[in-house]
Amino acid sequence: MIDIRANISSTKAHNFFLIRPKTDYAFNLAVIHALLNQDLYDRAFADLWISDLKALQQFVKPYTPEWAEKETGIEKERLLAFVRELAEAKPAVVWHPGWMTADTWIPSILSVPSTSSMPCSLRGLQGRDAPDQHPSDVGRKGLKKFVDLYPKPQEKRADGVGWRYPHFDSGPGSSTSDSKRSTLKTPILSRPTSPTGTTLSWAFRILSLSRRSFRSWICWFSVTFSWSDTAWLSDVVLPLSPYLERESILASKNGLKPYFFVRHRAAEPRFDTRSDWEIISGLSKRLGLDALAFNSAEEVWSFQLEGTG
Amino acid sequence: MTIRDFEATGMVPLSKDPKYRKVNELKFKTPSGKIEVISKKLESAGLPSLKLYEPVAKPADAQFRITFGRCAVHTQGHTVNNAMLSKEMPENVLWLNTKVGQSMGIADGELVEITGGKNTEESR
Repeated sequence: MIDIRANISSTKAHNFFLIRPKTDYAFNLAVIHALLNQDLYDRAFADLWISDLKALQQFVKPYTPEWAEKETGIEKERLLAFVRELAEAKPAVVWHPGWMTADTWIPSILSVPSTSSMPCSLRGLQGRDAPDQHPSDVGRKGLKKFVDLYPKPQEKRADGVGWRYPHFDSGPGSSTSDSKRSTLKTPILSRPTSPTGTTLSWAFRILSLSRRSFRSWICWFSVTFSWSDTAWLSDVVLPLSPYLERESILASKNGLKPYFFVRHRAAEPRFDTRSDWEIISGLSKRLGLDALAFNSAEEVWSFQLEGTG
Repeated sequence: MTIRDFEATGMVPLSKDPKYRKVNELKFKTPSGKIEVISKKLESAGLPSLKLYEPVAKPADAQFRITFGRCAVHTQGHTVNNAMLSKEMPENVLWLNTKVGQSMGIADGELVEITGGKNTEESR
């Protein structure tokens, strides 16, 4: 466990490294240095699956455990002992990069999570026996996707993904970059943020910044079951039934044995709330997007299961 | 497959046995199909794939690192309108080391102003 403070998890950990704030990157670099320098990595795996390993070897040369000790406050002997444990525990090592390590500045976004996965890559763990088999990996078709019903918009995205930030993943997008939208003279388009999973305003550190950023939007809709800051700042709130009171769309779980699953509601919805599919279908009906205008949960499920065999 | 197939357990497995990949059967979603140390995507965006480490300065006097954690009362933004939980924890207060707070003459629960970069906020 690596943290800047002692907490309950740290008291349970076999190894707890109380590092100086913001020095995770130094710690990771020294671990990579030790793995490579002491030949504790899986050479066969690296030859097959890691490109430019020599560049990494060259890069981490100055980042010795001695050097890291001055930055992180972790004695080099402890770091080296930890690296030896990593090597012995192969292949049962999972290195979680931690939450919020990809914060603040773009270069740091790239540093901490990517160096966190590198020790696993060097141990030959990346992708092997990992529970990420998709339906197609076991010769099956996945659930039919709603997103394929309409062509993908071609306009420039408001969050800058694909043009201002060509290196950002287009899947999650960048909610915080949306706030820069008001300065753009380009067509405005962003992917919707997940109606249930994301409290968008929390992507901004400071409430006054959220308010300013929200004001720059023409209209903001929230589909939500909670009166969060995002809902508070929205122009329109469409109340969502809590998950025990709504029928959900079918979902696919990837894993060593991938499967589809359904979640039924346990109770009738209360008050003026709807399931997410009802809200989206209701809006689609009124907007003339007939392909998305389903009349019942059964219709939604039948659509999803088309072609799955 | 129909929705009736889900009736028994709520789920439908797509394979009989778990599938383990052999080391030569892996795949990575990168242009080269490998774990890339040098990313062309980053380099062409003018960003180094391997970023030089920048030493982290120690905070000066009256400067502090700010961090945050979870509490056992609220769950992100979902519970802020729950009256009972709100009574338990109506505000997300700032914590400061007791000794440091005393040396600065700050009493528990007092309103303080914190400044970081260009932003200033008031907090208790």
